[in-house]
Amino acid sequence: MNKAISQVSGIIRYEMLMQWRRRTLVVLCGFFLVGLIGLAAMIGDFSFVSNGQARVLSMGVDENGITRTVTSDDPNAPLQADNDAERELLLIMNDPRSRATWQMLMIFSPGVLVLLVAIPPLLAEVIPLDHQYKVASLLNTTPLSRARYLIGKLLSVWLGLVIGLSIAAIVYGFYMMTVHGAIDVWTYVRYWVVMALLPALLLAGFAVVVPALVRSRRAGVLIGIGMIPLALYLAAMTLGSGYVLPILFRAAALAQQGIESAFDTAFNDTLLNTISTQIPFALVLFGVGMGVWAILRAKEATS
Amino acid sequence: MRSRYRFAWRRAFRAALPWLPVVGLIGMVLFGFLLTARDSIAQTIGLSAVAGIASLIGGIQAAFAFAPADEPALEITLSKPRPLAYLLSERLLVIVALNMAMVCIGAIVLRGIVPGAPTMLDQFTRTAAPFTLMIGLGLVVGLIGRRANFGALLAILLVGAMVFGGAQALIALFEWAWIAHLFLPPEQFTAQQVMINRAFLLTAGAALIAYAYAFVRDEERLLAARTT
Repeated sequence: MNKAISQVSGIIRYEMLMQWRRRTLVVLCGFFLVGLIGLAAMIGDFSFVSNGQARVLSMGVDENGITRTVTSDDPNAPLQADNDAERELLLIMNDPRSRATWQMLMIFSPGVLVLLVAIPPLLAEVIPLDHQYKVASLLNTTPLSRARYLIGKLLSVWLGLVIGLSIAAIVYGFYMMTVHGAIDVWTYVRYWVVMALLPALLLAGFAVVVPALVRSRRAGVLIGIGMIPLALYLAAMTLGSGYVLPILFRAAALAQQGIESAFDTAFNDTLLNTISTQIPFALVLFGVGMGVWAILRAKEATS
Repeated sequence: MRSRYRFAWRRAFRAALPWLPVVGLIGMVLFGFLLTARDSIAQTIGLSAVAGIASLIGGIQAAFAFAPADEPALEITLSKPRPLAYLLSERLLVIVALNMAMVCIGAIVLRGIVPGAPTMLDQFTRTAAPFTLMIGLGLVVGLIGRRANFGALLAILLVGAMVFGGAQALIALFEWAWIAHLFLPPEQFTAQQVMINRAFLLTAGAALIAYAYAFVRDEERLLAARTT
């Protein structure tokens, strides 16, 4: 047992170091961060939160989304709501902390799409490189099982991603706080974990495991490029169930039904829905991982 | 007396991922059917499909064409008297030839599927400028990054963003951004703007390709001898 732990932890440590040295994780997380900050700088304020400190007086909401927005610089101007749902929405929109948080999350969502597209081509090289540099032949002479090897590689990528994406999230959070004021940190952390970290880890899992069957980086990267439709599908499922704007509509609808803490309820429901859309991907990843492990074992037995 | 070197066309063909244009062609046919079925995504892309797919495929192929860390036995290749410019030229020529064939067939097929689609000549003029730029970008990023995946990723994200509304969003934010629009729709801009845009893209692409040729002359840098 101790031997297994030391083998896996050794692979995790050195593989993660190699990923930083090869600049894979630096490029991936740096790209994500620069994209988020660039997008935030270019877009500025979304129209429905418009004009910095302007008060949102009225907002038409229907099944197509927000259809009209009226703002005023007068902080005492009365809200013009046609129903309780619109009033709830206006109260959320006029709370400075909520506005800053929503501003942040609105930009965060498209950034996640770019992150997920970038993961397969960049991380698909992890195992094929061992074959390309003939390290695999050396590893074959050691008492290292295929399962420990695969788990070690997978965990190293996951740990590297958690560290890199955490740094990106902290820098992005500070940037947005500097520009838009204080944010709701707990909302941001939960949203970041469910909307960015979990799909990134799932996709990284596929990107590491599937190309394990090829023997050159070139082939591995091509498999990674071929996995981009999977990345888009995962992004569509994740963003489709957890995109930030429908949470506001749902909070407004819950408020209309007299449900207290409507916003928290809507937000928690959304996060749970998003996690449930990701569970099938996790199961498929487990199945694919087992399949690849079985093929590697069979190859080992016949070689 | 100046020695002459032979071109290694067969090796260049293999290095240029010749099956990718076939995938692109299948994509064009699928796109044509989606457009006739009034699919919303296909309508977002509009008639830029041929130029978009050719630029994407060209960019990915260029990134894979010569990435030093993925090149087998690079040191031996460098020790040969044949300049690396030959290697770059033969691979680029194969990529251009394959993609031009794909554009020709794609234009004919698309015109057969979608009534009123641009002619082959029109598709060529739409494709040439963004294709050149993506070839240059893929090549240079692949060389500087030493690996194919950085260049291929850049090609995918740039073409994807431009085709799926990113260019319009950029123009809405910066009025002058039409100059860098990869697939400027001629029907929405003046002839002068279209000319300037294509001249800019062509010049930028040519400059990047020229830089790639200059880059491969520095063997120390190509081997990353200073850093490894």
